[in-house]
Amino acid sequence: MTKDENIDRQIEEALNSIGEIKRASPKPYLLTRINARLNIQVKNFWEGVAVFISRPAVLVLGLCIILAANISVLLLNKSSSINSSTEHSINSISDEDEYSTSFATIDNFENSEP
Amino acid sequence: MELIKQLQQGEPEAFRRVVDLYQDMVYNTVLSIVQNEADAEDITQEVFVQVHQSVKLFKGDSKFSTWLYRITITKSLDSEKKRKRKKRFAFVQNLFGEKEEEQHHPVEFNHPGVLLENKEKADELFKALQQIPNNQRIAFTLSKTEGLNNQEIAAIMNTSFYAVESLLARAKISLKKKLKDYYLQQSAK
Repeated sequence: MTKDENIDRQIEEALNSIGEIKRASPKPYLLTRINARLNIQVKNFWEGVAVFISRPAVLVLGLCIILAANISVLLLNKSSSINSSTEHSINSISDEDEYSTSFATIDNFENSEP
Repeated sequence: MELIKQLQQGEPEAFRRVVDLYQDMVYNTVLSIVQNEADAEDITQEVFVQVHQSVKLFKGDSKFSTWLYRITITKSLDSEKKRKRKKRFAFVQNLFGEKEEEQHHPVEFNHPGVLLENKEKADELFKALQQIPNNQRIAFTLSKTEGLNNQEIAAIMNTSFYAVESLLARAKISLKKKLKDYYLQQSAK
């Protein structure tokens, strides 16, 4: 048998070596290990959330957001109260105008009478 | 299908039955791809955790086993990528003189399902399998170690029957080339 023929034979043998392969099985109690992993993942999720929230940067940022929200609410309230008082004064001025107009109309009406 | 519906409703008994039914299929596929028993155990667990978490997304368009094979293959290939990345990182660390703590992947791999008289040849074949393109390797592995037909492989790989035929033919050519190089090296020694 030549060298090439020998190599070809070895290649064929290697390719056919897994022809009658049987399925490999995992170690026993796989389900127990999977369930343990699932529990760890749930635990890890909440632990992760707690660790994330308790980070100083996250705490400071959270406080800043709350402060900013409070300040913006205060400012909005202030500006809306100013707006409402301005509106009120404008309304009162316009009311006065209406009165004056009405007086003028009455005067005119009186004047127009023969 | 009833079992899958129960699984989707979160019944623990259904999950137990699914693990019992499919654990060999998942483990054998993972082991044939990653060629390491410890990694295969770990990835098999990950696959079932993924099944538990995302079974509600399974719409039944394909067979459940097809869906499970897809998860298994994706997880196995992801794990390989991570291992290669770690290896590269360890190499760079070595270059900078930092202490290497990476656990080396064993070079020798013996699939427990191979007949004793074929162990040596199978080891050489598995080594060659690691060196061919992923899609060829997956098609070949599913065909040889799981005994799936081309139609089933096509469904898993989301491709056509003829594409699988072509992949298997190319896989055989690639493997022959790799094995020839290996045996030539061996005979030169």
